[in-house]
Amino acid sequence: MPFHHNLIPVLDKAGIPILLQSIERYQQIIDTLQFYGELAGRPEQAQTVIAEIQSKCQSVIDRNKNHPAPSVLVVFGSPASFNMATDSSFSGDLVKQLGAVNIAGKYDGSGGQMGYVPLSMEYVAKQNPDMIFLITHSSDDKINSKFQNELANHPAWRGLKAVTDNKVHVLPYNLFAINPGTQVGDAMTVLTGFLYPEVSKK
Amino acid sequence: MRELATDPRQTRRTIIGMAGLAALVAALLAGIKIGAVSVTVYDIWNVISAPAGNEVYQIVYNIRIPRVFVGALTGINLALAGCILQGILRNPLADPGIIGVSAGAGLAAMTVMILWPGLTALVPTAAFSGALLAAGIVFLLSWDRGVQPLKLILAGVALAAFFGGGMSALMVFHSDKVQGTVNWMAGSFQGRSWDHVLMILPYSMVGVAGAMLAHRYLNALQLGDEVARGLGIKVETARFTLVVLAALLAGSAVSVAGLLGFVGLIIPHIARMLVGSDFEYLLPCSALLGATLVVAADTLARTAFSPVEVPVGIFMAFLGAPFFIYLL
Repeated sequence: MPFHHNLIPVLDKAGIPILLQSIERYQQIIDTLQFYGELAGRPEQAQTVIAEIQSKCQSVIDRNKNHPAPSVLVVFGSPASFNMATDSSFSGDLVKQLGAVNIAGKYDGSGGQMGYVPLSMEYVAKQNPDMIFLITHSSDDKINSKFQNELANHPAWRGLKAVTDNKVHVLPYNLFAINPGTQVGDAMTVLTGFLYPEVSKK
Repeated sequence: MRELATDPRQTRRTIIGMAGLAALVAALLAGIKIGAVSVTVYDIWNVISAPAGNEVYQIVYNIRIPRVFVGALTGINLALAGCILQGILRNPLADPGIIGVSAGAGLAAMTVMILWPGLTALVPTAAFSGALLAAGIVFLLSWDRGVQPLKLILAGVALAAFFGGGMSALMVFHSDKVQGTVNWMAGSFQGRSWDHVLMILPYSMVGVAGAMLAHRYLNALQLGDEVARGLGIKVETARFTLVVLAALLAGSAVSVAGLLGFVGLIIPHIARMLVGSDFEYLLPCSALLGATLVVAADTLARTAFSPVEVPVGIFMAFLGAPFFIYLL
């Protein structure tokens, strides 16, 4: 459900056409591109971009098809205050598209409304994911690696397989903190690099 | 003469005290036993008697036990702070927020989390400093040959509004980063560890000791400044010391738990309904009830929709407010 509903009557009165959108899934990016292409009268150009994105994503998905799916947890926030991404969030959706198992995936209790929920640390310890992806609200690499260290040294996280195997990865802010839009292919490439390192090296 | 002064409520108070203690122990044990992952009593015994680095040990010793203790200590501190403040200000609406503690801690913690995310490890320290700074400003503003209760309340309200404006500004201009701070703002024990227990424990100990010494002064202050002075109490000194004690208690609580309201306001009232207004019984009863409530509410909050955790602040508001209305 998009925000900014209260803008509609104001803009409407002023005679400005308005369209509200929310982009929370991979598919919505494709649909939106197509729609904007038609809106701008250049559907061919939109099609080119879409095809490019789709082939990029498809090739990434194809390459991983025969590999065992790692279990992952996507954490958003800082060590002081954090939530976990469900399948309703953009990052959660991408992880799912790539065939990995998001241990927090199904805990959106509201039917597509809650992209991020606070999850029990005990549950995380029990599920013991293979990998942890960290999305912070900072684009500064130094800060991100500091968060990574703090998380790895926190008593509740320290014993996790992902931490001992050194598989806590920080996801780039520009691709994951908000939806990546046309860069969704890049976001997928980054995720694949972490999820299936043996494939991407080839 | 002393025999004559025996209070008929003595038995009732002893019973309530014992029941409170039992409830707290029950809440602590339940908090350790219950969680997103089920463990048996035998598992818990093993964790304590023969520590092994396995999964159960990790869950019980590193996640659940420290969390339960942080909850109990937070509850004690907030309830005592609220009780003391209601006593010295002689105002039933006083709570730790009234001396600016919540607003100061909130603004400081939020500033660190949003503007200097690299220093996130210092959030508890920042929150504590912010709380004390805010309380200090409120003291200064209300100082007129001693802390003046009415001035203190007004200064507290004004300062809370001022700092609240700062928080709103941060939220509006950094709306993309707010998501990383919301749990803290709602009051949550998510991911609390032994570090946090050690952080709050000294203040709880000082607070409990202080409260044991303070009940005489609080009782005397209830009679009004003139009478208290006539009884040989140094009113200004007593009031000042008590406000500092309350600020330390509340500041240490918000620094580990985030902005957890409600306990400091409601618990003293519930305690008063149970044991009466004599601070000698009111203070320990509040501490017991506060600890029990926070531990029990947090246990419920993290298991009700398991494995999703509702921040305990939200849960407490939803459960506590109707209960308080019922008590009225």
